Amino acid sequence: MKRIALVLLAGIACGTLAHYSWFDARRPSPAADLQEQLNWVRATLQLNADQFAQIKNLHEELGPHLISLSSQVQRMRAELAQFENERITSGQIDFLEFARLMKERQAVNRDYDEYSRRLVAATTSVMTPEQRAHYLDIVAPAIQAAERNPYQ
Amino acid sequence: MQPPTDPLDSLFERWGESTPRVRDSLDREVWRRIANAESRPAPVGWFSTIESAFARPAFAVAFVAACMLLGLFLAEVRLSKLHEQRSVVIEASYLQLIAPSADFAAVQTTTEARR
Repeated sequence: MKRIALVLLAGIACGTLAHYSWFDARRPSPAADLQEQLNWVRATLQLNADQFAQIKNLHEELGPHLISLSSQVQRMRAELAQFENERITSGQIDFLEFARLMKERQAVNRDYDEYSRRLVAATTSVMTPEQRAHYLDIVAPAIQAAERNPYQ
Repeated sequence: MQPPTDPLDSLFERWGESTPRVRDSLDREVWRRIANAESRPAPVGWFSTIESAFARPAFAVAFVAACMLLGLFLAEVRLSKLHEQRSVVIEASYLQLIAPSADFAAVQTTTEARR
C-alpha cells in the first residue's frame, strides 16, 4: 500500500513537473508587437529569408508612422464617443469642436489611407502571385471595412 | 592408417573425472525455494494485482515515465491551443495596423466565412 502511494505520488510529481517545465519553456511571448506581427506574416505566407528582410524593412520604415496615426485614430474615436455621450445626456454639443474633430479625423484618415496603401502595395510587390493572393485575402476585408466605415 | 588425435578427446576424458560432486545442501536449498514459491498465495482481486504490479521496480519506473509523457502531451495540447489563439490576436493587431478604422467584428465574420 505504502509503495503504491509512493509510486503514484512520484508519477504525479514528475508528470506535473514535466508539464509545467515544457509549457513554460515553449510558451509564446504575450506581446503582439511589430516583430511578432512580421513573424506571423512570414509563417502564414511562407516567406523566404530575402522576402522577409524586404518586408521587414518596409514595415519598419512605414510602421512607426502608421502606429502613430493609429493612436490618433483611437484618441479621436474616444473623443467622438464622448461627443455622442454628451449629445445623449445633455441634448447638445459644441458643434465647433465637433466640426474641428471631424476635419482632423478626415485628414488623419486620408493620411492613414495613403500610408497603408503604400505599405500593402510595397509589401505585395516582393511576393509571389500565390503569396500576394493569400495576403490580399487577409488584408482586403479590413481595408474594405475601413473604406465603408471611415468615421468609426 | 590411424586417424589424427583430436585435442578435444583428452578434454572429454578428463571432464567426467573433474566434475565436482553436488553438495546435499544445494539440493535442499533448491527444493526449499521451490516449495516457498509454490506456497506463496497467488494475488486475489484487482487491488492485489495492482499491488503486486507496483511492487515490481520495472513497472514503477514505467509508470513514472508514462506520467511524464502524459504531462508533456497535455502541455503540447495547451501550447497548441495557445498558439492558435495567439495567431488570431496577432492577425487582428496586424489588420488594426493596416486599417485601424475597420469594423473588426465585420472583418472577423468575413475572415471566418473565408476559412
